[in-house]
Amino acid sequence: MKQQDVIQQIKRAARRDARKRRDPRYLRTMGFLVAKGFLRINTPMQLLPNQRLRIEDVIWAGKNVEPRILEVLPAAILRLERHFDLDAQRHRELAQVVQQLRNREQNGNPLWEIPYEKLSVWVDIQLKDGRTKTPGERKVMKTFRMSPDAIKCLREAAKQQGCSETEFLERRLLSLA
Amino acid sequence: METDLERLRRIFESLEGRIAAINEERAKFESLFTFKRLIVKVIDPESALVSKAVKAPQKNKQLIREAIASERFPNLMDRIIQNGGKLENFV
Repeated sequence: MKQQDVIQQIKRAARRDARKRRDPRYLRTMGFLVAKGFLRINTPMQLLPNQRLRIEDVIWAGKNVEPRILEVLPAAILRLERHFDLDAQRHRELAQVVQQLRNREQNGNPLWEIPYEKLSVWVDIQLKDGRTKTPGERKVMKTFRMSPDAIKCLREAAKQQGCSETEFLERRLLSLA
Repeated sequence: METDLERLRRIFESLEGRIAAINEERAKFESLFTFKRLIVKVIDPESALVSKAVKAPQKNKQLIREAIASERFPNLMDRIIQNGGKLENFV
């Protein structure tokens, strides 16, 4: 193929790319992922942190515009599942990888020819939303019955240390590890 | 206790083999920051594009297409070919 022909074909493809970058599916997906901190972009983009995204739209954006979307998608679903309509039947392979990430499996399945190790690095990144904890940090509810004396002791000890009763117990337990 | 520099070295060593750039005479590096024990350099834009086109063409397809179509990098295509890349990846 002559170089001039190649150049013309590349220019036509570049024009198609520019149209795809204006597609709402791409804009909604990137607006969300950039707002949450999974991806960065150096062109102006409306941030959409409250989007609820269709998995099919996100996959379209990843396959047709920005491949990195596919790389972060499993981790994004794991960390922010309420923003996606993941269906274990319709999106079987994706759901399997999300579960493998949730279980912290070392050797999971690749997805869209992306190796599992590349998918897993996004699980623990610090997101822009400070309230969102990584799967390893999320707190778990525990309920204990304690004697009134123990409760009093806990309350006074926490007050002395200037922390909450939960923080006091956490620090003491972790110091035993 | 691990110093910041030791921690930084450990991080970069763990990334060895994952970060790749072309090793080519025409690549220019400009100093961005110079510290007592660390110099941070930035590669010129055209060389960065060549590196991306050759090392990860599928991931950077749209970027390279846009760069070629812009005609702002006159040597880009020749350098991609000279470094073993294929323009057909971007058609």
